[in-house]
Parts: sequence; C-alpha cells; structure tokens
Amino acid sequence: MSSFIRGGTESDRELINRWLAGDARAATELVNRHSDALARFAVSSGEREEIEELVQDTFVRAFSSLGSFRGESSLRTWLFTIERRLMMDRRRAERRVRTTVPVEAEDASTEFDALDSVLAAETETRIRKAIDTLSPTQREVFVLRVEQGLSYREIAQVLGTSEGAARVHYHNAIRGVKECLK
Amino acid sequence: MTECNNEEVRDALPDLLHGRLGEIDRVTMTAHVDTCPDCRAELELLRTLRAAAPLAPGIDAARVVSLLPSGTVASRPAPVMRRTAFKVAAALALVLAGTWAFVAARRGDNVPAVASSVDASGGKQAASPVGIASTPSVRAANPEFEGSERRSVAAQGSADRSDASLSLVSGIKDLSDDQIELLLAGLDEIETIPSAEPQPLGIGMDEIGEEQ
Repeated sequence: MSSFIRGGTESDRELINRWLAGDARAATELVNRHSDALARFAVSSGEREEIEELVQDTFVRAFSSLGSFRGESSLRTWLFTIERRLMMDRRRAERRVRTTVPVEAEDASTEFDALDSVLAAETETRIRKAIDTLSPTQREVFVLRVEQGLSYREIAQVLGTSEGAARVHYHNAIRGVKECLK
Repeated sequence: MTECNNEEVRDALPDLLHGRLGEIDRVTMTAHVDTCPDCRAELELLRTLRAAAPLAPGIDAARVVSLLPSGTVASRPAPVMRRTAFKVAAALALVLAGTWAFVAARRGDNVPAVASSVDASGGKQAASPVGIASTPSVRAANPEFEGSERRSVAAQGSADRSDASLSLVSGIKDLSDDQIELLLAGLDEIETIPSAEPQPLGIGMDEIGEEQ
C-alpha cells in the first residue's frame, strides 16, 4: 500500500500496524493526517451540517475494520469511499430539503499561496456558483481531482466507477466550469 | 479559453498542481506548460479553483480518537475467515449426510417399500425407493397409493423387526415375472450415491395415468 504522505514520516501502513499492535498514538497521527481532507471533501460535496460528526463516523467505521484493510487503495482513498457512502446514507435519510447551499465568498479558503491575495471575492463567488451547476457526479470528480489531487484510479475506487468514466466526468466538469466563467 | 490538443498533458495538469508527478514527468510537463498558452491558462484556472475551495471546520482529533475501538480488538480474524470456516463445516456436513444416505441405501432399508409400491401399482411402477410413495400430491391423486403407503409402513416395520433379507425374499416371492423385471430395471437406475437433487414429480406419473 502506498503512503499518501511523502517524506520521512511513517507511512499509513506503518501507523496502521502500530495501532493494531495497541499503540493509540498511531491512531492520533492517522486522524490528524486525514481529518482535514475528509472535512474539506464533505464541505465541497455540499454538506454543511454536522461535518465533524460525519468525519468522526468515517473514522470509527474505518478503524473498526482496519484489521481487514488490504491496502489495495491508499488509506485516504478508502476513507473518502467510506465518507461518501455515509453522505449518501445521510441524504437518503433526510426528509427535508438538503441544506447544501451554494458557498458564499466568505466561506472560501484563504490558505495556499500569494495568488489568494489578488483573488476578488466576486471571482470566488462566480467560481463556486459555476461548480454548483455541475451534476453531482461531475462535482464529486472535480472536487476529488482538483481540490484533493486524487488520481483517476483513486477517484474510480471512491465512486465505484471506471478510470475512463472518471476521466470523462473530469473533462466535462472543467468544460462546464469554463463555460460558466466566460 | 481554447484547449490544448494534447489530452495526456491536460489529464495530468492536476497532478502537476498537487506535486504528484515523478521528477522526469514533472520536468516534461513544466516544459510543455511553459510553451503552451492553453495549458498555462488551464493550470492557472485549476490553481484558482483549488484556492477557492470552501473552508472546512477544524476537527477535534482527540475526540475522534476517544471514540475509536481498540487496535487489538480490530485485529481479530477477519469475517472472511469465519465465513470460510463456516463453508468448510457446511461442506463436511453435506459429505457426512451423503455418506449416511449411501450406507442406508446399501442396507436395503427402502427395498420393502419399493416392493410394496410395485405390488399396489400392478407392476408398471418405476421403482423409485422413496419418492413416489411419500409425495403428498401423488397420494392425493392416487388413492391406491395410500394403501401402498400403509403397506410400505407395515413392510418397513417388519424390516425393522426382522432380518432385511428375509423381508425382501418374502416380498419378491409374490411378484410376477414382469414385476420383478420392472423392479430390477428400477434398481439399475438407482445411483450409488443418492442424488441431492429432489426427484421430479413426473417420474411414474404418466405411467400411473396410463394404468388408470
């Protein structure tokens, strides 16, 4: 199994083995490593309420079956798969209109590089509205590819589809966003 | 915004953005982007889109960890192994059941019932040791089989009380040559190991109808 984190730190597989051997600190390291990505994926997918609970449930489910995790995908891909299923379950259970509202400009991240400083709030709003016009699958692929940096193979594993389909969805999503931003 | 015709490069732009390319690929991609206005514009768009990602709430890692099961609990044998063990046990049970049925058939426990069934049907009954006499629909359609069933039960009882070979001899003694031939033909069709498949109701039904 490949480690999602490159560099000199322990790989996900090494941390999993330590945790299975009873080292609780390894669990803390794994949660710290992947929780932000899970939270961003949930928000980018349109979830607005109980994000922390969603992330918690994802980790609880994952760690409950970590002993049988074969490592055919990366740990993060597997976590995204679990979280996506939880989001789908949550949406099915909801009887009211979903509270997935378009993101306002003030919700936009101000991290990353100096480019952020020149981005107008209006541009960010236009971008988020453009993403909201995508189909649910296009939006998921777009989020996983552009915001999370997953490969097409990993995206296919999360969505339960093929690499080719993931590639098509991505290009359609980019084309759709470009159209809206014209 | 126009698009570069090199789809392979366009496919890999998010990988370049996230630093997921190997050194050689990164150098190749960067060289292309530097000379391709379309790819340069698309990479810039991707960077902007990524930067515009919505803000996510912070996660309390300590709280999450407190809810997790123990690592040693999660390392128990995988459910797949338990399912496999169950399948092996089920297979062994089937083998034992088949062996028991074979041994029972070899002991000739069903022969008195067959002989009685042949007797009741007038000799043209296909010899199926248990199936015909025990099928409720057959009994309902053919009252004479009820009688044969009672005789089968009686024959079975006598077989229980006395030596099976003596019961067989006494039963055959009363059969005509045609009936014995039919019985022998049916015995030849009996498989050494009883089939697990249920006997089709159609066996002998046509013949029963013809007799009537």
